[in-house]
Amino acid sequence: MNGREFSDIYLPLSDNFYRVALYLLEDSDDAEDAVQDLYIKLWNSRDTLDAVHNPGAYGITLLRNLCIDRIRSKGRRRRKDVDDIVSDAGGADETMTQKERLGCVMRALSRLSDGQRAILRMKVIEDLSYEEIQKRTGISYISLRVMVSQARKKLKNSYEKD
Amino acid sequence: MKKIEDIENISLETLEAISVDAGREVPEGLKNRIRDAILANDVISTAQKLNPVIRIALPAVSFALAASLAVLLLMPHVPKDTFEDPLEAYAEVEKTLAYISSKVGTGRDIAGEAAPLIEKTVNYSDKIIIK
Repeated sequence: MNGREFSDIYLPLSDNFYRVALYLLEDSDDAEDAVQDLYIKLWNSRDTLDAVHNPGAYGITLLRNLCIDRIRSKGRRRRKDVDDIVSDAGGADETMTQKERLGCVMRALSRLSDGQRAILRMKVIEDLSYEEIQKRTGISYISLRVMVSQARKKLKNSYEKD
Repeated sequence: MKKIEDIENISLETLEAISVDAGREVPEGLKNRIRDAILANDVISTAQKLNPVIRIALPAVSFALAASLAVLLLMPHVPKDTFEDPLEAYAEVEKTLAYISSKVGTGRDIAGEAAPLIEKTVNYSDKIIIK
């Protein structure tokens, strides 16, 4: 499944997934975190998503498991008084570092201009070509390339610095 | 927060019904924050993918350099054919001529031993031809 299909099929379900996460976790921040984790998982496995017949049901099933992992890890923390162990992505230390990296890059993203952020989303998530972005935004091809390159550099620097 | 056992017992149909219940509020900007999370993840994944390339290329380049150095250092010594010192050049020429002369001498001795045998062969062949 390409980025555009992913944006058309899975992104519109974000509200649905949030409602389920909120129902299960009973906390809005946790629910949003869980939904973010779900989308990252879906995005990383988008090559396999063409075989999914019911994206909504599939997402809810994955989300339920993520919520269960989250509750389990919080229970472990209460018992052992250590930091959250998040999801099933390998060793606890590695997952926390990955979360920290994600946090760094997201903070850097928030410092980009709205325009840069929107163009980056169109390029990376929706998989649009520069020509298509040019048609949508009216920004010249060369300016688009420069904007994307500068944005990527800023984000990469924030991740490597931290 | 619900208990794990309770969550496991909730049917998929129930969760699907909850998911489309418009009465449950959704925070503003959720979609954009999700897009940002996907973008951030993409940046990190791309950076992590490049590192293995460097990790493989660097040792390969080092090995190639080390191998070239080893070849240069261990190459067998090739005798000089030019000399800066004329006396050294003359000595080399003398050595070569002496070597040739010894081989020629050896050749002459071999020829000397072979001569009577050659004469015998010629006499026999003459007799055969004359007959």
